[in-house]
Amino acid sequence: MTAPSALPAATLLVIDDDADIGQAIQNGLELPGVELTIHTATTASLGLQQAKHYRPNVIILDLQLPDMDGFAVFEELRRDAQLATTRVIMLTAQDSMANLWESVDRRLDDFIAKPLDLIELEARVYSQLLKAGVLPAV
Amino acid sequence: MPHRINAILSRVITRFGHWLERGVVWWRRRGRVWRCLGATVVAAVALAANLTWPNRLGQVNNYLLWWLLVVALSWVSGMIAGLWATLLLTLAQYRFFMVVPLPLAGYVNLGLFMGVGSVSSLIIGSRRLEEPTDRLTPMLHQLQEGVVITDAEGIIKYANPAMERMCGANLAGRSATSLGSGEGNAGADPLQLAQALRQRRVLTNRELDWESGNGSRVVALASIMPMVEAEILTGAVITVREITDRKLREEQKDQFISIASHELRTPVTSLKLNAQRLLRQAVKQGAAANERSALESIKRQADKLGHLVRNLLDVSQLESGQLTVRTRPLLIDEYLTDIIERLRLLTPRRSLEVQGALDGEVVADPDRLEQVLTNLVANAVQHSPEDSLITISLTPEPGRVVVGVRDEGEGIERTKQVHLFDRFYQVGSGGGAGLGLYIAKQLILQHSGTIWVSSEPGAGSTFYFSLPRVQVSAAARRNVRIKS
Repeated sequence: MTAPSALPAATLLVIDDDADIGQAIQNGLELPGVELTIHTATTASLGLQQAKHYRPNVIILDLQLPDMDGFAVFEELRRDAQLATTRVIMLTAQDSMANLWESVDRRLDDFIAKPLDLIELEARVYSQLLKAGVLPAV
Repeated sequence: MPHRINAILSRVITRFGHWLERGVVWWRRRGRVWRCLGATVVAAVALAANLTWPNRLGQVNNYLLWWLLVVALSWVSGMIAGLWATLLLTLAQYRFFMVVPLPLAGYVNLGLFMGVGSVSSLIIGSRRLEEPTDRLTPMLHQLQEGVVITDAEGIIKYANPAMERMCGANLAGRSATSLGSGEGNAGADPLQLAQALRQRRVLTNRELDWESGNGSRVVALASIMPMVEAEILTGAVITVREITDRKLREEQKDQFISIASHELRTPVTSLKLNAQRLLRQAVKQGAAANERSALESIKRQADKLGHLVRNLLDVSQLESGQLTVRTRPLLIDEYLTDIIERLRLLTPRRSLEVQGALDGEVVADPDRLEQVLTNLVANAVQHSPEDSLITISLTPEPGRVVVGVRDEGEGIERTKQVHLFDRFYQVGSGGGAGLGLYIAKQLILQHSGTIWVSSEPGAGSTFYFSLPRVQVSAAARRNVRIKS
């Protein structure tokens, strides 16, 4: 990771109370032509700490966290000027369309329903990195 | 000859009885105020007659005549109007103005007259036509089902013990329109009794859910049968069958499905992500074919499981009424072209053809509409042979658009067609949980559309759904452009 590379680098943070999912994304998510660093957190408070520390380009945020509602975490992130450009993808439950629409209403960048599909997640992360200007537009 | 006379007489008496009964029933249907007014008119006529022909009859006969009048009025008009008639007729009998200078014997007479009149009113007038006959009462007492008998206005005249147990309260005299509603919304008429009485229509199996007097929840199915005698509505019989236990079990089952699918979601996600990762690694590292096929199988099954979990979550939401559609105006042609392109990926080794074209706009939830079409196409793929043709037909009809999905599969027997859209129903053992068509139907219903099937065994099946075409305002149309 520390070796100099010509590839554009991107940092991701996964905040999900299930450590397995964080790990699966950390080990599995690959983007062609991108040097990815993925951090994981299992609680909202840990997630916020890490977000401030690493300043990730994209945060994948679970709606249901043990210590805080995902939307509240999002508000907290948006209050931090240094994280203003961070893109947030909300993981929502398929059974709560209301949450899904709330994600839209609250101007979240994207949302994706569980159970996740790796390819779908990769595509969405890629699209957010493009929009954030981390990757050069083709 | 005497036989003929007898026959004619008995026919006349029967006829008279019939008309008398009709008249009495009709009169009893009037409000209490009307019945009292009627009694007043009769008393006024009696007073006029008494003033016109004073003491035409002997005193005793006179009393008898007045008592008969009181009894008849009480029988016809009920207790309250009967008592009112007694009072008025007493005053009429003593010609009002004579009450004051009456000798002692006159007061005794007056007291006697009023006493007998009042007692007969209380006894005769309180007898109700609607009460069950004595022979039926013990049977109704024994019934496990609740039975309620109301008058034509829906006031409860009788409720059997099973019914009173269910309500935890004494019901007689209360309005049956409050049956099944909570304390807060009394009069909401969840039974729709008022409507049933007005239209004289039989209503069956209306589900009621209320809190009984002792605070426990009661769920029951009620049926209403209006009673009509000689074309006059006399009241209604309401039967109520308690299904609380069954309902609670059903709710527990739905809750279980909901919890189970929620809990399954996270492990399934983990399974899917890891299977995909391992498969990728295996491909990169050139793993043996059998290893790869094992991983592919894990991934395929995990995908299936994920699909099932999504369907179960949809079902539990549909059951609890939480699934809502967010509709907006859609340009149907553009929208469907877009979905059909994506559906081609879902139909490997089948050709997907589109027939017809649609224009104009429908109001729909784009995500849910795609789900419906995906379910129908997936269903067609599942039930048709490889290399066959799946046709999506688009037909404009007055006021609606009809979309059809035709396959060249085995077709469905007519007896099975009626159950196709039931929850968990499966045709044959083709796999799947029997949820796709159920969900499709529920979603289309939420769009105010209809869904149906046309199929012959051996000749394939076509599933159709329709969506109402809606006149869209210019503002909404602008909105579509902005959104798209």
